[in-house]
Amino acid sequence: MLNERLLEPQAPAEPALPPLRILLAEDSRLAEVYTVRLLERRGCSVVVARNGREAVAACHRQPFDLILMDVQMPEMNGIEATAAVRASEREHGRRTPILALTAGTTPEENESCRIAGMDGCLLKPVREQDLSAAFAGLAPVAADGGREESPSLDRAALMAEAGGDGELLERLVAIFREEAARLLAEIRQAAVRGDGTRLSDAAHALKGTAGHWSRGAVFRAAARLENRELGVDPEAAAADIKELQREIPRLLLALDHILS
Amino acid sequence: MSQKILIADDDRVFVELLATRLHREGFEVSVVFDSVQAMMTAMRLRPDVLLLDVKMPGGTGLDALRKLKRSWLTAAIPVIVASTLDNPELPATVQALGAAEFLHKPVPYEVVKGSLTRALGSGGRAPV
Repeated sequence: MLNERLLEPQAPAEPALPPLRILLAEDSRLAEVYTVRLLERRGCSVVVARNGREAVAACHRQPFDLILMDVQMPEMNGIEATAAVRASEREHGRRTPILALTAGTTPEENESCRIAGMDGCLLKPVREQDLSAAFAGLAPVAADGGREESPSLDRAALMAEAGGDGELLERLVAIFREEAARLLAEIRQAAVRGDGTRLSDAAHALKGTAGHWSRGAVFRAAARLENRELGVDPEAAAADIKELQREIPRLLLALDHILS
Repeated sequence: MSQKILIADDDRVFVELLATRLHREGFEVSVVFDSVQAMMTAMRLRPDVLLLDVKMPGGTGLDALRKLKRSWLTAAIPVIVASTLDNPELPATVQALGAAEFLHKPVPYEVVKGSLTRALGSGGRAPV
């Protein structure tokens, strides 16, 4: 599962990746000390919550790149806390990867974790190699050392937004496909003609319609382009358009994958 | 009699989603894609609530809102303005122009429905 905030383009002058911000929700003091040490050894910055309620509150205070959530906790368990975090995230269009920490899962517990919105599960005690695998899934490192984004969409959330109606979701994707192609063509034409107003209007429309699916690369590039002064910085506008040309097909591919 | 909702927005994905789901929930939904049509249809149809985008072909939704609020025929129609524009002054501007609420898009269906329901429950229009 990719986290979009992790994948913001890195400034060239600052090649080192920022430390991952991790929320560890764990009620056992022993497990906490052990896991925090493991995470800090990997350069992560860790916030600890003692129960589900504290975990939800921590998520309201600051964003995290990953949440490690013990399932069995007092006051509010990990499954309830995950559901609360996901509900609040839906309002803000964010989705933080959440991994369950369990001493061993039954199929029923697995199903509950999945339905609540968890992305996977780590067995306790957490091992070094399990963390490596979890982090690799979070942010794949490209050959050049940078992080490469591929649109990560939440099928369950998109289906819920369509009211559980698969045909409506398909129709919405088909409309988006047409609109994205039309607006990209309009953006390119406007750029060629040096028509900044038309370019900004089309970029605004593309930002809006892409935002239904994700606030990923297409949304961000369109948002930047919407506010560019074409006459002042044509190179930056050209770079944004290039990114749209690359990222729109990838977003459409990810949508196709969701429908299949 | 079902309540009439007019949606004026040029984002066809958003409009299709809203129109389909609202219709399914028993609302009578009409859709227009530009500012001029928004005004003309609002005057003709006199919906129970209008969901209005800001940046649309044919002029801004703010102009449409201003004119609708000035006309005795449409002044009492509750208007919810929804926009992806990041202008921080926009909520206050649309409120000053008489909008019932402002929504910053992208916004989930349930949030839009909540705003529409509130506007419909706020007493609707004054008798003409």
